[in-house]
Amino acid sequence: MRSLTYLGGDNLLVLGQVYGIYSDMEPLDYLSIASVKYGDTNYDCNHIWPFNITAIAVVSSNRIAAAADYKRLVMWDGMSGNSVLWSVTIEMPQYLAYDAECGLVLIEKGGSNIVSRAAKDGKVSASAPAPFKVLSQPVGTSGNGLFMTGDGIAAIIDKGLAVTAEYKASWIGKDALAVSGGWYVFVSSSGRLARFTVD
Amino acid sequence: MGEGEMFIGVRDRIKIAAAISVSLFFLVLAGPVIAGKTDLVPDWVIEGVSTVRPALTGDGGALAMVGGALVRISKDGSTVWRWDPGKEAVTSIAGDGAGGAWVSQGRRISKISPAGKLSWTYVWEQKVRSMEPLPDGRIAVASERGAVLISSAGKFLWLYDPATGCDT
Repeated sequence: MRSLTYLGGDNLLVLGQVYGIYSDMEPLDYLSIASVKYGDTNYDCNHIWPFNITAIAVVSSNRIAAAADYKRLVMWDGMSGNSVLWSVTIEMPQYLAYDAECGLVLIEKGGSNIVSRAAKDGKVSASAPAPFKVLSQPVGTSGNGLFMTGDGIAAIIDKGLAVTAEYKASWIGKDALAVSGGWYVFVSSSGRLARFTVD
Repeated sequence: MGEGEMFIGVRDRIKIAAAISVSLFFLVLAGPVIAGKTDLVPDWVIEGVSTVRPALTGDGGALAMVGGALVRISKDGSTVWRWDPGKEAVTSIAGDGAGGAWVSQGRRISKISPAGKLSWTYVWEQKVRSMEPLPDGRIAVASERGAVLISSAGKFLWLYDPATGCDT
């Protein structure tokens, strides 16, 4: 089991691992929805899901984006078992994040390019070189932009993928962790913790 | 000097230079704003924080491991309470949205009250990988090969076992 994400209502998103499909030793990833009330899956685990899932981003309770080997980037509706709303065959992104302002944002491998896609159909909204090498998981800020960190920098980008605000400090490194509370973000790195107001 | 010619004296030159300097100064200050970029200034920065992912308290503050203790930090950066987890390493933290917390250490989960006191401890069969709080005070816990739901009183509610839960 890799992670659990509460989606609201009776639904708990499970990013899990199963053994024994190709090998008893090497697990494969899957996504499913578990019932909070009963502790079982409301919808059967989909056969096509058990693959290497490198990133997920919850857009809403019925739109869950996943970067997975078998179809690269897919939007799963989460509530209808096998229903994939759309998929695009692309290089597997390094990070996947969602913000209401920016849409679904993919940081390409190496952290040097950013692409935003519309959550409804997956079409590219904007694409740009990253203003700096993105080194850790970006976080949404409830429509105030996407918060990203790199070596010595934290920044917020808008829907055009332009930097709207930035903070430079040597203590922000590749170990940085960002946790979003919506209009504020905590960043932990190099033994320090900072709070940023982003609205 | 003929008609129409202009003479710029030393005083005028100084005035012009001063005007240009002032203009440049304000241009430098306003440049980022004109370009749509502003400074992102931290509200506060504290030191001595471990690599365990911090958690939200729900009121704008955070929970983090600082100096070996679990610390509830208010939104203005002050310490609300500290809780000593003992020697076993803390592996994850979750906030209950009311100022309390859950802490995992290996297979053990501890609930810390909003006052910073230990409420209960629950020991599961497997190591905890992550915790997901529910709004009603229950906590879902991901372990190596399954998930458990624990009540707000620290009682086992169910086990989600992928071996059966995903059996199609």
